[in-house]
Amino acid sequence: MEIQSQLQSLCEKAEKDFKNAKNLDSWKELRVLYLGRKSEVQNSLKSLGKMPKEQRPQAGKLINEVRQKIEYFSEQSEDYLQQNQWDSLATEDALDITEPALPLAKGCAHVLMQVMEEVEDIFLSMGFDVFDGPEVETEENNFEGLNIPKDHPARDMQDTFWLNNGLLMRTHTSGVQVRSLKKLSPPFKGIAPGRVFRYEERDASHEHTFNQVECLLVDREVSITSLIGVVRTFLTCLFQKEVKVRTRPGYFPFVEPGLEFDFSCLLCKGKGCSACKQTGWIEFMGAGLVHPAVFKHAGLDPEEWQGFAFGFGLERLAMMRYGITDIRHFFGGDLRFMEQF
Amino acid sequence: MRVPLNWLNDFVDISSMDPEELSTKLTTGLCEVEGVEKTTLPFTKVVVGKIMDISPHPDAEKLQVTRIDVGGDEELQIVCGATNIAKGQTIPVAVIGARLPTDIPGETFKIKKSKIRGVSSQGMLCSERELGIGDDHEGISQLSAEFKAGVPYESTLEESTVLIIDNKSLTHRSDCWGLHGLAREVAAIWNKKFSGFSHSQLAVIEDVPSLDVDNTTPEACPRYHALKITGLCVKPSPEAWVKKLESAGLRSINNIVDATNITLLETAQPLHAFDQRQVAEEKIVIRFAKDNETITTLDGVERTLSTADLLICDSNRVLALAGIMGGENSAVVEDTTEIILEGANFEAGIIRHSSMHLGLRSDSSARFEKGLSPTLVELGLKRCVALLKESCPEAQLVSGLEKWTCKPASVISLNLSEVNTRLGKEIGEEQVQQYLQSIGMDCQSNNNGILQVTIPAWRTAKDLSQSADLIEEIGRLHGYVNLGECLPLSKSTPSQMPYERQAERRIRRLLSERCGGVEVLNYSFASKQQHLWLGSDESHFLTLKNSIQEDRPYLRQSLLGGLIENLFHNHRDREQFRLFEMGRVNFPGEGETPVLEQRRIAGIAKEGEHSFHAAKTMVEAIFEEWNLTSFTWRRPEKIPHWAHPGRVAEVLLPYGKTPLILGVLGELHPRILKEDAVLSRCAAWEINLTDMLKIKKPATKFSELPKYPSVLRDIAIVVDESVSVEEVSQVIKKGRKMLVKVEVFDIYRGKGVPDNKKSFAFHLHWQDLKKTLTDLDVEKEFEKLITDISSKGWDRR
Repeated sequence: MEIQSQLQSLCEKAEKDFKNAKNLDSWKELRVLYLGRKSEVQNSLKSLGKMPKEQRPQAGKLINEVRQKIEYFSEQSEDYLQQNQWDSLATEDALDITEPALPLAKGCAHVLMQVMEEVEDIFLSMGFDVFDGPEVETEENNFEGLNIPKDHPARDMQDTFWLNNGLLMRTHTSGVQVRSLKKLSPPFKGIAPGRVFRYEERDASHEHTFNQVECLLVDREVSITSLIGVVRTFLTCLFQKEVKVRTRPGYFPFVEPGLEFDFSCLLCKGKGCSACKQTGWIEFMGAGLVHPAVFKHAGLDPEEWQGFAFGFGLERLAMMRYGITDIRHFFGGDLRFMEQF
Repeated sequence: MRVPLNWLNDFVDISSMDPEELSTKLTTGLCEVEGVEKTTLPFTKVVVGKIMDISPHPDAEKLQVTRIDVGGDEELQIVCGATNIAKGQTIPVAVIGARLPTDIPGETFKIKKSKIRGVSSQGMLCSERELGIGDDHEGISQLSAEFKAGVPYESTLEESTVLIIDNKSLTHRSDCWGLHGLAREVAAIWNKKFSGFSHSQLAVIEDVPSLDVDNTTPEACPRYHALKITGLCVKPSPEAWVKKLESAGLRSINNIVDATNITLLETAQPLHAFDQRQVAEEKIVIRFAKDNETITTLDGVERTLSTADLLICDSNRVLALAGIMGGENSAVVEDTTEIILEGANFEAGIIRHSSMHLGLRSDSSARFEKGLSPTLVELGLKRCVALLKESCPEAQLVSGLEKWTCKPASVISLNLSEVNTRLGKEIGEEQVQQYLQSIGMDCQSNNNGILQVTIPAWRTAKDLSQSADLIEEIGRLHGYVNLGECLPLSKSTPSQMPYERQAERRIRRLLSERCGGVEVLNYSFASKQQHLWLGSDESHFLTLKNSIQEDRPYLRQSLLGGLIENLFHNHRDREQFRLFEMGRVNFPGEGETPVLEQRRIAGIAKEGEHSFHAAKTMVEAIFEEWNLTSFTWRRPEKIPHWAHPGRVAEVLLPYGKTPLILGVLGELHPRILKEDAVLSRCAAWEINLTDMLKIKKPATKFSELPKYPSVLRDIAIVVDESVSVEEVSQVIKKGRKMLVKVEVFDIYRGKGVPDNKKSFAFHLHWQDLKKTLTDLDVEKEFEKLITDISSKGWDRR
């Protein structure tokens, strides 16, 4: 049959062409050429109807065989070419892997707020509440309620910003102590973080605005040893390592006994460096047992209730942790500083 | 305060103590020692030598040749010109390589091997002057024979180490502002004997008549004595006094003034000496000043007084500002031979107030304002008179101390079980008694667990008045470090945090982590410049009476001023950025609430043409985080002064009957940008968080997932520039239930769109919850939509 030899040569030609296909693109063209709607095989199938009836089955079978063969060549070729293409990815489709990553929105929380949240979380996990108080305070809450009457020399320690209406910018978050004692019914424990203000010239280690955390625990029996325990646990948690704590007498009118806490300098491991003024210790917080006068002032019976309180600055913690050398950076508004954390 | 250890040693034997250890123990037991200052000696390589032999110099009459044992194998041959040397003496020797001071401070010269008139000399025998440790140039310094040859010469000198104590840490301990009181503490901490003053250090004040003192205000001046001393002679103080004063950081003036200063440093009791000739009728009057009365103080400054200032006067004139500083007119001068010595006690508050208001502080006022015990007066006077007699043996005390009765000593009951619970450690009765007795307290035990503790006269009531004060004494003497530690018994209720704080924490995370904002902190104090930017009226602001940065006297009422400052600080370095701040602002209030505090969140975006949109993203993110999705934007009725008048909006949320205006968003006015040559458009926003949190956060609720697929059809609509996205969206949404979501995905101007027109492209999501939508269903809806759009006169693109 004429058709038989035609198909035979078509088949051979297809086999050769598919074998010689250079890439998937030329393979696609070949596939259209040999198996597409307008291909010889399709045309042959379409022309079947014109054939004499008795020849049709045989011819149909023949065409299908050829088509299957060509399909086979095509698949072989595709597999081969596909594999080839994949094999060459490393060279043909290589990327300069040093090209920059896509930009991500570059935001960050302020380093002090990061530390503050961390401090809050530690105390929350230890069962302390978080209290809030206003930044503008009354003399009553900031001083009198804390056993610092007018003309008390302790007022020198905390030079105050006064407002024209007789109120003041709180000099410590201890005012929240007075508020909590009046408002809450003991026993309770909590911390009060926030902004405080001191009438003080700015230099590398002084700011007129800074952040403090005050802690207050009130219960029926409260001891110095539990105060020391809470402070050390907190510091160990914050710095993620054992921190040596030194306790020494300190004077604050709203606590009695009054203590100061130092922790061993983490930069020099207590050997002495410029950060700790060669002492090996970082002055960290004032603390003590709540003064009976503070309880009385808040209308609580000091015979019935006891408490401990302490307060510390966040800036110093952050400076210690990150090696920041100038406190003015915190409120300096410089992106180059803020973005580092 | 400077504490010279040599001097402290007069009152307690600390010779065997290492200064560093002393410093540490004082710090953990009493007060903060800020540093240990050791005087550096001006020489090196000077050793102790013994003169073994002396022979005349062969070629010089005035020189001698010595052989000196300095502990080595061989004796040194040293030529010396001094006349006071003799065989067997122990002397300081500068050996080869030693350095000695010169007349020029800081410069030294080196001792070298040399030949003096043909005789070789291997060093130098030294006088005190040559060593730079004294003025004695008479001859070679003579040492005690006890010192061995060859030991460093330093070891023979008394060390002059000074402890630097932080004054603040002794605020409540006026008794320790003198070495005598401090020594008592040192003795207690070390369990040593407190020797105090010796008999010879205190004068016996005989029962002679006292001067006439008219104390008009015994509340302000609880105790006043005026001693008249004759037979004095004003002259330089003895060398030992000068050294002592210098080591404590004071300058020597003359023997009389120095005697009062030494007394002050030792006893903490300030004294003052008046020239007797200047005290009219030898009468002292103590009274408050009259308004505008003046005095010229010792420092030569004329000061105008008020009725709060306490004065020491004679019958005519003002002589001194009580407790603060003497007057120039009555000071001790060169030819003074008789003085009136004042020993007094003044009320702390009055001295403090007067000293603050006059801006004049002195060693005297620093002590009085801490509250001194009146009993110190006697000690001070006795010590000072002894010092005056030491300097002027002819001195005569011609008027004395009148009798003064102390208040009875106060007694505090101390419950021993309270001591243990408060300190958290069992401390036995015996030990408690021992601690309290070591600092001069008398303890009476009646074996029922209660001690009756008598407070010594030198401690003030401010300092010791209740059992808590005694517990502090026990705690510090035991050493807080030695108490151990524990954790308080825990409560079991969950910890609470104020809602506002929780909100701030969530929004901080949102703005920084998702919106790319960098958080800043700005001062609560606003400047005049900020008022100019924000157009605020400074008369409505809370103002600081005493501002430290003169240009920032106001309490801020907006966070935007600070953010504009941040923009100016950073815009040159960065093409684009987003900043935000969370903080509080304060408004003047009325009556019960004189101040209204509000929490705000504000931000600024510098992103060129997209600044407004970037800022809007941040604001909407906050509302969406709070499930407050029903917010709307509108043009504000009153354009904020800082905002670009064509690019500003306020955001509203439904709240009761009237919606709440929660915030404002707008580009900064070019006027502000121009000030610092900011080249990009910038947009700022501010939200009132306090108000936002008044609106109850809608609860999150699950909605069933649609069972049937949705169909997406897009449409582009060309409208006039004046038509807003909102307007077109409303028309698209109106009356079309199947349209579940309308999104603008492009706004286009340019080729293909006529001038003054713009094209909005929307994604339209169609959905029927009950069945699968067919193309035909959507097509029908879409036809209607096109009709509606055409009827508005808009075109489809």
